[in-house]
Amino acid sequence: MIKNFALIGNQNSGKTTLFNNLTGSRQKVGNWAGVTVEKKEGFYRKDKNIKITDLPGLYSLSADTLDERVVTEFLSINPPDVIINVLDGTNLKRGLRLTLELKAKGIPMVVAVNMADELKRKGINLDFDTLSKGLNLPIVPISAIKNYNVDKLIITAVGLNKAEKEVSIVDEKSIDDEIEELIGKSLKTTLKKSFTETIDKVLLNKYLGIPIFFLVMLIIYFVSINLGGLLGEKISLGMQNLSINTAKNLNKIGVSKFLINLICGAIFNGIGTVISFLPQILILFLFMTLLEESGYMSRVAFLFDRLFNYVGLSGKSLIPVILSCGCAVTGTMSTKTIENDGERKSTIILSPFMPCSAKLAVFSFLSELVFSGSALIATSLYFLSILSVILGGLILKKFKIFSKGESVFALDMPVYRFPSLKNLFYVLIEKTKDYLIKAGTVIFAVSVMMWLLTNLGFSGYTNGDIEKSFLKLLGDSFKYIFYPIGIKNWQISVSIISSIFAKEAVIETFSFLCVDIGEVFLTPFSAYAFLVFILLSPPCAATLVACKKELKDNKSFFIMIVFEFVFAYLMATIINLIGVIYYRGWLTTFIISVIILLIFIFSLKAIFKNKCFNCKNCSKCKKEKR
Amino acid sequence: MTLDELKIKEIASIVSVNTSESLKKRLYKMGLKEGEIITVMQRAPFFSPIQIKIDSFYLAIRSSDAKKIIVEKK
Repeated sequence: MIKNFALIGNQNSGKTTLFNNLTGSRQKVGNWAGVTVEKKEGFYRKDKNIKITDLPGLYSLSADTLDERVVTEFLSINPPDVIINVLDGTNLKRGLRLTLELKAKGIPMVVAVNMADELKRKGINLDFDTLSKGLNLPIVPISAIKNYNVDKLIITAVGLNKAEKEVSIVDEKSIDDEIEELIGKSLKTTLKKSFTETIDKVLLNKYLGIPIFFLVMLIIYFVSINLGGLLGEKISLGMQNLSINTAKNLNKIGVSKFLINLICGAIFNGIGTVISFLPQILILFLFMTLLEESGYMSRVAFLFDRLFNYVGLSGKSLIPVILSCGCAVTGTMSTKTIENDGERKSTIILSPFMPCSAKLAVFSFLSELVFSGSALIATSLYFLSILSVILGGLILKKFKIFSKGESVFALDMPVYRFPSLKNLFYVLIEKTKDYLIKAGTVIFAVSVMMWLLTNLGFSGYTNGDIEKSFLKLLGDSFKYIFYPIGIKNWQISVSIISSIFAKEAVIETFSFLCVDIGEVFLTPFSAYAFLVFILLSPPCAATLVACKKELKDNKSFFIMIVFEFVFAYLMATIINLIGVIYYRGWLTTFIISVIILLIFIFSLKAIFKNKCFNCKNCSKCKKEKR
Repeated sequence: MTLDELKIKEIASIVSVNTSESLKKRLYKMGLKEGEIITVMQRAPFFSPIQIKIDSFYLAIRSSDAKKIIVEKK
């Protein structure tokens, strides 16, 4: 018979690390409150009859927040055979509240005191026997990171007899007294100078804190692009050789030229170019993992809360925003920690503005071609994305659905920790796997689709004449939309359409269509405007799915897509106009921009005619209030 | 006096928490409640939020909320 064990404990007490060690799985861990947002299941690696469930961290069973509800629902719908209560040994007093609440549920329970290896070093002297007697529960001191005593924990849990206990009712006052009594008996602390406080003095410094954050992000981008680019060139050369050799061999066997073109030109070159960005993406994700595991994430939330609260977001919005620099799907899923619903939704809408690893690959690909490989391009786009988040926050604040409710902020700041090498290694493997799968599925599908569309037209097979193909027709029909951005070429509009599937598809399309860059981008400004559009336009399909799931209602999702498109379009147009001013003088530009603006205003008016967004300020809303 | 008037490194005990009910409940669960001894650790740029230490853990709350928490300096 299968036994169900559930891991329950405070946020950031090490449940997921323990879960990974027990089941051999590789769930994401990090040193900030709220990494695990959904329950995860796995089987104990030494006995497949034991099912272990990892649950989001919580402080109490009161079911006030989203994560608390996941746990309380789990406990009432399918109560586990044994609860493994994970306590952070260095934060015992806070954790015991949950322990006592869980105990009252009457489910057999074992207490795992985690970080037992650190107690002595921190000057904490905990008497496990006294605590165990006081709680009337078995206690196992463990270290999830060092894999110490975790098997003993399971043996203890298996040994618990399933005596039905009475469910008792708890009241807060008696719990408080009980905790004081337990702590008084079993815990002795001698204060030691904390390593975290020393680091915080620098990283949270009033003047240095924010500059240090920007410096850290700049270093991450520079190293990823430059070092990653260097390694990527090697892959790119290897792929080219492979492509040439395959072409030769296929030619020998007598495969038709046309097929050789498909295999070597479209697939090898296109996908090869995409794969050559793998080193860059891996380095970026390694840095992201370092940020997450060290405990720096919550510090950034602390530094920026004032500014972000002003623009209708929360300091905690910074965590999804930074994570989106790796992948916006991860970013979107980490928004659950934001208490206020409006702030959470705005964060979901705005964090896809950040340059994710795929967009970064597009930036380095194009800056190699147009701007002679300057890492400054990607860096400037990174700053532009932060500005866009702030600006976007100010705009979304005007919508009532994004600015309702009280803005609550209470941030847990965990002590700093050294990231574990094992986790960094897992991240490398996982991300390589993910990226290769993406290149082999989505990007591959896009390239086959492209190939079909270039070789087919209304007259059937086009015989290589691209002018008659469906692809050109598609590109031509969309290219006028992108005129204001400075794109007059059908190939680029095709690449923008393909980017809906995955942003890397832009690279694929460029290499596939063998676009002559000089011909496509008339000025460096229009090239930059194109990059800005790729940066800010609605994200890839995978992110859209994640956003829809987290936003939970269709109206916000619709607003998100329209808002992101319009925002990206306007920003790109402005940049292109600056280019036009630079090259053609003021008068032409002025006329063009006035025309564009007028068209824009009128189309917006037509769309939002008679629609009121409850802005609180307009005459209509004021009337309604009365 | 209120929590936001404390200077860095000053130690105080919490007398009462008069913030909104939802925040009060949240802070209570996170370990910030009447009778606890706190130390102010850091202030973010532009004075908000404030990092405080209770026992051996660190929390951050906004200055506007700290104004509603009455403390007694030790």
